[in-house]
Formats: sequence, C-alpha cells, structure tokens
Amino acid sequence: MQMRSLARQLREDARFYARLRAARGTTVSSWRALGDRGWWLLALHRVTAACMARANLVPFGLLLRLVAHASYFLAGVCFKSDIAGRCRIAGCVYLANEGYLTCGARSVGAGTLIHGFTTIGYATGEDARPTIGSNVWIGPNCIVSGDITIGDGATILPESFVTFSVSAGALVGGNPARVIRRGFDNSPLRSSLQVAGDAAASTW
Amino acid sequence: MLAADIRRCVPGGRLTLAPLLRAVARNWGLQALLAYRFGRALARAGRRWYWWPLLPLGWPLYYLLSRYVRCAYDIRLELSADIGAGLYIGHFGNIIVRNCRLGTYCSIAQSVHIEPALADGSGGPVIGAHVWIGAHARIRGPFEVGSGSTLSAGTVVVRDVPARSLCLGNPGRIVMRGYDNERLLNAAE
Repeated sequence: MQMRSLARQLREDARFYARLRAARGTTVSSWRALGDRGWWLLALHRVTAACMARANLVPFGLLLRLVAHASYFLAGVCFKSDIAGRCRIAGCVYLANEGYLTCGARSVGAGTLIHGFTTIGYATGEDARPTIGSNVWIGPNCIVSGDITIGDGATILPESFVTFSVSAGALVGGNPARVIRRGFDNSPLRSSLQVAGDAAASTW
Repeated sequence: MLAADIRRCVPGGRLTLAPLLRAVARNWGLQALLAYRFGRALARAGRRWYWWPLLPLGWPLYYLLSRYVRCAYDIRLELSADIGAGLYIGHFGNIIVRNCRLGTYCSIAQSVHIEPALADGSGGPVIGAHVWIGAHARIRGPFEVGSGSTLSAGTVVVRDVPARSLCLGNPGRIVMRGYDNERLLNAAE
C-alpha cells in the first residue's frame, strides 16, 4: 500500500460522503465532505492504519508509529472514538458525525453505514471480533459483539445488542436482539441520509 | 484506595514508577478516576481547618483536571457520586456517574450512565461491590444492584437486581442467579 493509495482512499471516501449528504439526482463537489466530522474520523483512522502497516517496513518507522499514535489520540479526543488500527475498513464506509464509535471489528465492508454511539467488537475475550459485511446499515447506540459475522446487506436497528451471526439481508433489532425479518432491502436507508433519518425515527 | 484503583490497571508485579506512569498514560479511565479522587480528597480536606491553605490551589487544579477529562474523554465522574476503592473504567466516552453509590472493585465501560432519574438528584442508584457493568448499560433511578452481580452490555435496569445475578436486556431481566463474574472482573485487569 503506497502513500498515493491513502490519498486515493480519502478522495473516494469524500466522494461517498458528499453523495450521501446531497439530495438525490444532484451533483456536489466532494470537497463538501471536509465539513463532515465522520469523514475526518475515517481519515484519522486511515492514517493510523496506513502508518501502522508500514512502520515495520521502512526506515524511520518510529516516526510513522508516532504519527499513528497521534492520529489515534486525536480520534479519541476529538471524536470520542476508538477505532482499532488493525480494523480493516473498506472504501465507501460512512461513519456518522456524532462520533462515540468504538470499533474493534476484524473488517468492515464497502458501503456500510455506521451511526454514532455504537460499539462494535466489545467482548471480554481476546480475538472475539466481529466481521461486518458490505452494505450493512448499523443504527445508533448499537452493540455488536463477539466472534460473529454480519452478512452483506443486513440491517441492525438502533439500540440493539447483537451477539449472534446475522445472515445476509436480515433485519435485526432489540436488546437482546432477534431477527425481525429476512430479506429486508436496506438500499433506501443507505442511499441517502435523509431517508435513513426518517426511517430510524419512524420504525423504532 | 489509590493503590486499589491503580492495581486494577496494572496486572501484577511490583508497583514501581515506570509501570505506574505507563498505566496512567494509557488508561484514560484511570486519569478520570484520579481526578475524581483528588476532588473527593479536597472536599474532605475542607472539613479540617488545617488543610484550608491548600484549597485555593487545589480547587482550581481540580477544576482544570476535571474539565480536561470531561472534554477530552467525556468521562463524568461527579463528586456527588460515592465510588468505592478499585473502580476500573474499561473505555472512555459518554460515561456519566453522579449522585449514586458504587461499591468496591466494580468495572464499568463506555456509555454507562449511573445517575438518578430526576433532575434534582434525589434517589440515585446504589450498587454493591464487585459488580461488572457492561458497555451502554443504563442505571437511572433508585435501584439497588446487589454485590457480585453482572449487568450485561446494553442493560437498562428497571428494577432491583439481587446479588450475584446476571441481568440482561432492555428492559433488564434477571436471566441467571448465582452467576460468577470473577472471570469478567479479572479480564479487565
């Protein structure tokens, strides 16, 4: 992974953020993502992950590790978020502006929306980390914990506590969680944040 | 009391200066707890006249420390809470502990709210010793949580929890009695 790929990742994220914020059918500049706290959080995580991955490979690795620690600390202090450096987050992932995200997932797939006040990967055991698939919608105040897999296109309603593997396209919610529906299409939720806000307010 | 708090973060061995500083630097929860202990010590010192010369220096320092902890980590351990020795704060962010009583050797995690339901601060929860409180747990109101009980992540306590039981869900239900949380409490260390 080169430094150029880091920049490309950030640009890709910015484009995704700008598209989510915009009304449907309009085009906006991806510079608008700079006003998103979620984008900054994701950028800090990208810097942390890139520096940590490279620290052992290049000379002046100590410097890179220092940068990684600094961006990790900034993510904690500015956004109250703790995203593990070894957590692999794919491109086009939306993290909400509220922050307060504790993410220790093994990996997060592309197109996933994660809202604030969410804990992913909270378990007392070592290496009991969830794997989040792509196109997943995770509402605010959720806890996803344990050595589990959230399938592609799954929807996790707000305030739910998920400790089991969720199959692709399922809708889960509640504390403790249960599967509410199978084959739920969450593409309207993910296509625009306005829709997502309305739906979250009306379903729960 | 301070030794018990620090011991929760430093697993074993002799408590020399280097591991001590490392523990304080790494555990943001411990920083918050030390600031809280300092404030409580100041409040106690206010009752003895021979400590009064220290207070004009102490209270501004406490104010700065608590502001830092609250702004940077969002851990609010207010002085109205009565926290026993050996609290372990596993993670930072959105922690509110006020007007309540916590026993010794408890563990709390991120997004835990332990506070009275009413704004005037009367009727706070009373929590026993050796209680493990998971992330996002809400204890709001005059409930009693018995010693040695376990509140799972995301629990919303709506009634008293007997000792050594496992409480789970929203609304919180007691799913097991005689649950041993020793492993959970030790995993924190």
